[in-house]
Amino acid sequence: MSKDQLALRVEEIITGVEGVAGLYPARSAILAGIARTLGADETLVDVDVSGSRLAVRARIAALTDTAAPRLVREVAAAIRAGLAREPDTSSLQVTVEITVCGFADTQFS
Amino acid sequence: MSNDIPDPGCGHSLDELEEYLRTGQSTAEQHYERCPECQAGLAGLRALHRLTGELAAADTEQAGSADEPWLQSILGNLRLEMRSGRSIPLSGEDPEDSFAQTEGSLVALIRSTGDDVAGATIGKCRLHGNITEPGGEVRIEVNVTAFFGYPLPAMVESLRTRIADTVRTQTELNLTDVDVSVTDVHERVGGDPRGEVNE
Amino acid sequence: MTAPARPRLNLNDAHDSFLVERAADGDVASFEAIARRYGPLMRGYARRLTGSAADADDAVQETLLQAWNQLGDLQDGAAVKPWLMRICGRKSIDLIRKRRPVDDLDDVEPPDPAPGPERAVEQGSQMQSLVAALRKLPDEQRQCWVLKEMGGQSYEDIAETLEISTDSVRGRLSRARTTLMKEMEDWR
Repeated sequence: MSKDQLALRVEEIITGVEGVAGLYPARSAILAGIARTLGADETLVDVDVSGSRLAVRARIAALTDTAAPRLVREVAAAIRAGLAREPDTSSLQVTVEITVCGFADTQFS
Repeated sequence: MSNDIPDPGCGHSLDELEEYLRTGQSTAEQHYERCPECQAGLAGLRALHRLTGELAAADTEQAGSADEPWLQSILGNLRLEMRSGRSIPLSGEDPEDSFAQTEGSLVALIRSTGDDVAGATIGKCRLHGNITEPGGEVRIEVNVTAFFGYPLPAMVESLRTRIADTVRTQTELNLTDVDVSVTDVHERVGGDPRGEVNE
Repeated sequence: MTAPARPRLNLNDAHDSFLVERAADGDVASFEAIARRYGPLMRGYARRLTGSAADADDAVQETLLQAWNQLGDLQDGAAVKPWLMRICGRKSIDLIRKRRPVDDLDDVEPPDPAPGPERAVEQGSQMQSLVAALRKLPDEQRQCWVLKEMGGQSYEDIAETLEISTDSVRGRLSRARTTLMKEMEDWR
């Protein structure tokens, strides 16, 4: 699985969690600027594989009627479970960084 | 580690002299005062410190003034970030994980919660306290513009309750108080006052 | 703390501790006043450390971003200057690491940080000699020296920033000092 494919797979997992309204770009404008000068590319979710570790970074919007503290833990659990089922990533040690950057009444289209 | 090259040559090292300069005391103080090599070493170190200080000052001057475009551009970039406010930590089960919510998202949620109360429009909304600490205390201050004709005490009570519920559900902060001030009362004529009072 | 309650205060004249308290409560204007006060200092320092004007601006930006997010952790608002310098030192070193392969660190000749023509004229010859001597130091020693003597960082902070032991910090500083002193003997 390429890095972009991996990022897309993680995006799919996250948006599949009940209570997630959508995703924002993981890299803020300014960090993205720095990433560009370093030659990195951009996807909504940021994934970084280094040795046996896989770091996932995502910024999400939560549905207003969901408790955000519980939601972020559920998202992390879903990412771990989802990646454990993928042959390419099942052996990796996954760390997750999630920021709730907004609340919405309905899911992003 | 020995610094044999420019050590004074009297058995005392440059490192010892530096330590003496830094702390102002040494058991060998009397020796330093009499020994010409040590005196020369001390003078050299003082000169090096002075020059280093002058270089730092020159670097700062060379960096330009704070009113120039470079800092304005940095602050412009940061404003995007700062609008999202501080980062409020959320707890996780795995110590490797890191969860947070932005202050901006919470303020927007509190505003919309408050705006849902009949007759109320939220103006200023501030979170006071050390909210970047896990489980930190928070006091919420909101200013509200009320439409004329709604009973204020009931409105304020309803705002306090709903905002407190929202904060308790959506954060792990320790809510100490919700301060609601009615800053303005609007006649119910013309348009929606939100455009004027929302910051 | 003698925080004036009036909102129309000129923030550029306010004490650090006052600005820090307000910025930690989310006041952007107070934070920007802190940034303006120490921005040039940090930029000059980051240029000296990284040897690059572009890296220095990135380091200052990242420093301010981290400062904004962690201002609440700063116990003593009056200590904001050394606190910023510590973050700035760390960000500068991080950038150096990111931009260059690690094994190149000692081979790369650092570019002269912004040596405008006006600089050469204004600067005393001794300071020029110091700049030249610093440039000749191995990167690891120069970084230690600048972090300590220009950034005012403690051995412990430097050790953490460079991911080495405090003994290594002492050793590098000692070697840097020895070399610089030796060079100075030649200037005089």
